[in-house]
Amino acid sequence: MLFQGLVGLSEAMYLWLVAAGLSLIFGVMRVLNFAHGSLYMLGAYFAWVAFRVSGSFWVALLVGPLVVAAVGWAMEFGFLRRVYSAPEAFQLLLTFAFVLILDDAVKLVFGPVYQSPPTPAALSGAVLIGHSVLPTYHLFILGVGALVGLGLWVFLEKTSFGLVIRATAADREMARALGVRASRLFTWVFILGAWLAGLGGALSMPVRAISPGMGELIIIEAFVVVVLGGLGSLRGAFVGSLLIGLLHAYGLLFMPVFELALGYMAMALVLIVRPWGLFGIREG
Amino acid sequence: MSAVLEVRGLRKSFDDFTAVAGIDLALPEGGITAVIGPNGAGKTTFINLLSGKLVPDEGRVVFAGADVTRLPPSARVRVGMARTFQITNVFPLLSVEENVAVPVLARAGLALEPRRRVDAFDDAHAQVRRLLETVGLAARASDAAGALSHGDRRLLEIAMALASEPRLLLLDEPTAGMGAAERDRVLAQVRALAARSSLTILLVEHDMEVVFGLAARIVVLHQGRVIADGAPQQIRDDRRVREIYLGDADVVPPPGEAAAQTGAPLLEVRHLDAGYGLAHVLHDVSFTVARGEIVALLGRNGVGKTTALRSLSGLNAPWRGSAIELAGRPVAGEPPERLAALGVSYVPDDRRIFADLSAAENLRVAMLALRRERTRWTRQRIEKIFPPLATLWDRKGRHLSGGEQKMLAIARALTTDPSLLLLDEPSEGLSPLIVRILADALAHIRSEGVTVLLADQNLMFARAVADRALVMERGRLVHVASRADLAGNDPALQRLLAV
Repeated sequence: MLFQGLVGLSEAMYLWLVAAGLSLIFGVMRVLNFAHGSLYMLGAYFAWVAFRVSGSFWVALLVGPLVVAAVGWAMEFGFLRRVYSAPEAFQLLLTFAFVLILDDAVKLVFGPVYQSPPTPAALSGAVLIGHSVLPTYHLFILGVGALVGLGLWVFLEKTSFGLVIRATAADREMARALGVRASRLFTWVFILGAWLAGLGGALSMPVRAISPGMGELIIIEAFVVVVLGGLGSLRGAFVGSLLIGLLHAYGLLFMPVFELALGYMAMALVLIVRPWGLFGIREG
Repeated sequence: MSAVLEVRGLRKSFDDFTAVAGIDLALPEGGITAVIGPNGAGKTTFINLLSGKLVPDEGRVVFAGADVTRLPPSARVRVGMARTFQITNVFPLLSVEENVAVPVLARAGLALEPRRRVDAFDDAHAQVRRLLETVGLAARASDAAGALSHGDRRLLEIAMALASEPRLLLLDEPTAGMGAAERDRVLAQVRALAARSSLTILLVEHDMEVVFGLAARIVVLHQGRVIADGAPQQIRDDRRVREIYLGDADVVPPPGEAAAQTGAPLLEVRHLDAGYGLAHVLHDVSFTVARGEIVALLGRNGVGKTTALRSLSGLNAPWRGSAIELAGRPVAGEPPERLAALGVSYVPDDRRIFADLSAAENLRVAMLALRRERTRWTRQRIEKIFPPLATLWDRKGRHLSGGEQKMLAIARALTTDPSLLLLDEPSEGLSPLIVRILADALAHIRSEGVTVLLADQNLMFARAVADRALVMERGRLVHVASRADLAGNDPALQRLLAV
């Protein structure tokens, strides 16, 4: 039981990293970034390349997400900022176009084959929990996820930049009237969101199959998480990710037939009872 | 005689603010009644309670003998209550005719039944024609609704509302954002509509010319209550109504001498035109404000004061051809963050405090936004001009009262070290004590060399603090009042601000 829970929680961490960026970007910029899953995918591929070149998992973990952050910068600076004032449908179309383009670009460069790099030696062991064996890597993932959560909290709640971000998320117009350079802030927030997705992808590289379609798989789950937790709420994204992770883990154990549907059922339930999500803010 | 609409003991509060504090009203069949009142009087809440968008905390809404208090808007439309909105809602890509056909078919139950007999559609078609004639749009039936002028869209909207064959029509600012000629055309149509039928019309409107030109009966709201109700002339002569619109002169004692010698112009506005979408709000507004001056922009609500301040702060881009100069530098069209850096700071009428941040953090955002290390307006100095803030720095914005939020909003604006402070309705809804603090604070702020342009709808505050007043009507600057005019009984001021 406990073992299954830990597996579920560690799986939840990939989701959390993607959902955190998605929610942050939506909360501050009011843009739903469909391409966020693709950034996750790029994180995995870039980390894989970095691993092949350097031979070090740690270098891969550092380089992969940073390159994704750079891609995020190019997306925001080159494209997204042109459609902030356009209707939402245009923003969705643009980010969806990125999904298609990035998927095909990855196929073109890496081919459609599934790639599975090895787990780094330092993390390839396992620990005994009760009567089950849990790979050390799962614990590592859990630690990184928790650390990122803590880091984001400290960043947003305790730093000056975080304060300006919170103010801008709450009332963009007033923040600008006070002198906040919103467009520059948006660029940084998007870069941060992209980095988080890239980190998730890089972390998933050794244990999950890398494939051009991995972005779509996770973006749908991330949307479920973000809607469940409340759009724009990081706490909601965190709790939502854990909830979905646990649901999958225990669902697999107790009712494998429904496992895939459980997340959506949870989301439907939350939407009926609290349409603004668990930690979202009721609007209007 | 039985009333079409009867409202009894209607109350509605939001958090700690009571918007509608007990309204009783009965409308007999037919005729036009107007609801007026200064900003924050509860007009919008009242019309939302009538249309079903809001549910009252207490009281009943009875329509044609049936209690509709808890019916949702769509059900109210079915029993014969229709409304139009402040913002136009038409389908821009459909033709004028098709726009009206949508509600007509929906009402006839034909929208989802493609196999109904064709002559049923003929009836619907005839009704569409009739409705378009009613509002004078028959000639434009096949034009796209998106190509209509602002006024014609309004008329189209009215035709769409009439498709439900209502007994009561609620009009929310039917002529907002219209030029004089267009407004008169819409008015003529509405008047004709009322004369021809037994339709009862209730309208909420700022424009006094519209109200007095249209309504046989006027209901005045103030602080969520009906304070006067009667024929237009009665309302004009009502002492309390005059007081509310002109302000009670005794609340704030006027300061001794007009302070501070004023210098060269800090702000120069020439041919400012602005608006939202099709609504042309500001027409060719030109004025200057000298360094160190406190100037009041006066006018009844809806005349364009807020739009003027928003244009000066960059939140609304002025239309082409407008020129704004700040200390000689052209700034029209600059984004708000740039203007903030140049020394323009704006305090909106609804304060816009960051609700989840503490009072101290609200100030810090203003420092951080401009990447300043220090400000002339330190917390200690702010506490000196707004003593009540001294104990509130750790409190979250959402837990501050309206008056406290107002002081904090001004403090936050000062933190950006502005040379020009734009204040929208600084005294609105504040207790006399806070108004006094505010008046003293402005005098102090000015003595520090900050120029102030404030917008207000009554004379009271302007009389206490301003060196000069610019009076607006329907988007234009129509009158300039000196300090002496403000203190005395300038007949033009009375005419422009009273009902």
